[in-house]
Amino acid sequence: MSGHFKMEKISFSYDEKPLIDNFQLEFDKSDNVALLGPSGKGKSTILHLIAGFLKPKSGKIILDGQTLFDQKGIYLPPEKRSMGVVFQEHCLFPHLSVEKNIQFGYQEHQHGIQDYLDLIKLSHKANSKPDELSGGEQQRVSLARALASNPKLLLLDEPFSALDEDLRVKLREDVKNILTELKTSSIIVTHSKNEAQYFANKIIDLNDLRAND
Amino acid sequence: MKQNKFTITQFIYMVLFAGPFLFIFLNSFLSTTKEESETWNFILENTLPSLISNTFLLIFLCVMFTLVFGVIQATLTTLTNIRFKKLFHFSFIIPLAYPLYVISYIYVGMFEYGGDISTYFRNTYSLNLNQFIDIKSPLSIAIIFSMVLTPYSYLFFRNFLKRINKKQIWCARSLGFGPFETLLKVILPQAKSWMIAVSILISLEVLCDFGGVSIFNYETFTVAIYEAWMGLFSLNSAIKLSFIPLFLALIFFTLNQKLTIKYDKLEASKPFSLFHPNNVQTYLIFSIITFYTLFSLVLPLAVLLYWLSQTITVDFFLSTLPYLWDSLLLGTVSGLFIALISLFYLYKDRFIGGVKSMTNFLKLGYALPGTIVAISLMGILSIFNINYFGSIAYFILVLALAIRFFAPVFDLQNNSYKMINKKIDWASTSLGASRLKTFWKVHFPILRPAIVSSFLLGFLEIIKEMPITMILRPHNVNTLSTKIYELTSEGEWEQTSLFALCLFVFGSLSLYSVMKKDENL
Repeated sequence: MSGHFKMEKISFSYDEKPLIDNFQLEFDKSDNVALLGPSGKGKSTILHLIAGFLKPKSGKIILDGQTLFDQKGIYLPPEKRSMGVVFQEHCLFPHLSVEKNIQFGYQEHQHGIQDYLDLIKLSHKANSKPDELSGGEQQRVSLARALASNPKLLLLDEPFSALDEDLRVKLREDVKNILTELKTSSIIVTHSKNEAQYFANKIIDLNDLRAND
Repeated sequence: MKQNKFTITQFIYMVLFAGPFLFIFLNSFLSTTKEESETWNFILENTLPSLISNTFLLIFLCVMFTLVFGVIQATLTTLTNIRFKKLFHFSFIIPLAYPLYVISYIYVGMFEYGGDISTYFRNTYSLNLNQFIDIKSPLSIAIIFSMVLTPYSYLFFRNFLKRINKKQIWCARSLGFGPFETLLKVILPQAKSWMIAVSILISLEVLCDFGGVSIFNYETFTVAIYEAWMGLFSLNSAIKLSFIPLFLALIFFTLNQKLTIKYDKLEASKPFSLFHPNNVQTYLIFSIITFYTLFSLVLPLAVLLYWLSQTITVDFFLSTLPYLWDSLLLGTVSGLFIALISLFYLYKDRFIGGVKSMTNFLKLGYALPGTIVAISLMGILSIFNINYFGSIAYFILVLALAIRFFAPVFDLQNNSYKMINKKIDWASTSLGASRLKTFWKVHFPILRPAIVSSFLLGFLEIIKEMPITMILRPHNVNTLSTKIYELTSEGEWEQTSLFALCLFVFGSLSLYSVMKKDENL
């Protein structure tokens, strides 16, 4: 069944020159999507438009039948979109412990905070502050924090780019396993074809804007 | 040999700058004559408890108000997309050009029983404003002081907010937190060390103020020290009283030094808007800003201009010129002196090293109330029986001002100097240039804007300064600030307007130049 998420004719520009022009995207609840392309093609911008951090100039965005944006005036702010976001930089709240970071946006559901700590294998560091963790650990906490808010859609903005090769491969496997276990649909932004193929069953190559199932 | 020369110079500076601190410490524990002991016991029993409570209450209230005002202002100019942000930014900073004593006597002159506004309300509406407003209460004093001190906290928070990671805010938003909750739960908790740093700065400013509190007849340590010396003629009691604020200043200063290391590491990020106010909210924000600016900037200026219109004559105008000249001369001479000393230490730090603890020590002077710096220097002179007149007196005055204002001048230059990559030095020396040539031909041109800004900052502080100038000036030196003190002591508010306006204009121009370089206004 199609229609879990739909982006229709989305356009966006920072200045006169359009960066995103009539972009379309549609996928099911079971899909994991990858936006693939080199820097400057607008991959991250598309993710920011979906999350509500940026406002499109025109078009329509729908998630689970709810309109998040349309050019007639509907604009749901980020806090009301039920989306989890993981950035390339860890963006953990430095004043909060690992546990408090995960608890920050926690929405009551079948998994508790401890489940997420177990899932990312950091129960023993629940009380540590972000600056006491390694890069990979910080990124796992970021992921757990995003998932603990029970999002309808998880957005991953080049989540492994800042890590070295070994750690990247290891974390990629961990994240894939976690997403499969929790059955959360996701969009990942990446410039690596390998990463896109590893993660996604649907790849959007922004070089030719052609969807490959 | 070169190293020895520096050591000797360092020793001379050490003696000159450290003298006041050592003098206070040593004299606080020395025995005194019977008469002086009696004076000290009288102060100890009757004045000291209220001095402590008055000082701490005023510090507490000022810190609270400036934190609240500063956070709100910084949020409006950095995290919203309202229009005229640059104008608001400037209007939030300019009150810094009012010396505390000027804004204090303007408000006393407006709201005391015989003041212009109180009289107007009594005569026109038969309304006694003084039933509702006690202008000399600690709360009123704190609000008035906060209007002039808030620019410090505003600039601190603005700097902090400019360094907040935009994506961290986006994460909080996507986790279900609205803009206001994000501000309270994510942004402000991270500002803890900045809040402590600005609280220390405000505490020091209040602790060091003499002119403002003396206008309200509000007894804090600085007023009591001055009165002990000038009123009770007991230099010894004044020195003993100085021990407590000196001790407090040392604690504040040490805390501040520790904090500086942390926030130096943060870098500014691109500006972004967390709040997108709708039309109604925008009108509300504009109203609040207008209301605040009215009381912190426009009304005081309007009152000064009104008083000026009541008093100005050609003779009166001409009579202010000598005061203006003395102020400008003192500001220029002392400002240059401090800027050069600071540059000397930066040069030495860059090429030779070993001056970090020395400069940290010299910066301590900024934490000391002017009255303490002045009386300790007077005390030292009295020990050595040095005749205090003419050029010696002028040099001592400049030295005292240098002790007091070395820190802000040095910090401004140092921040720019740190940005010059060390590899530039290596490139220059590898091309055969000596250290001095590298400094003069490479560093100096890059540092020039910072040197000018630091001079202007020192100049601004010095022309506003009151207690050091008042106590240490030679008899033939009369500055704008000392004249204002003389006139306000006699309640001649209107007569001060031209002197105060001169200070405000020079202060605003200096501030504008410094801010323009800093912010590209």
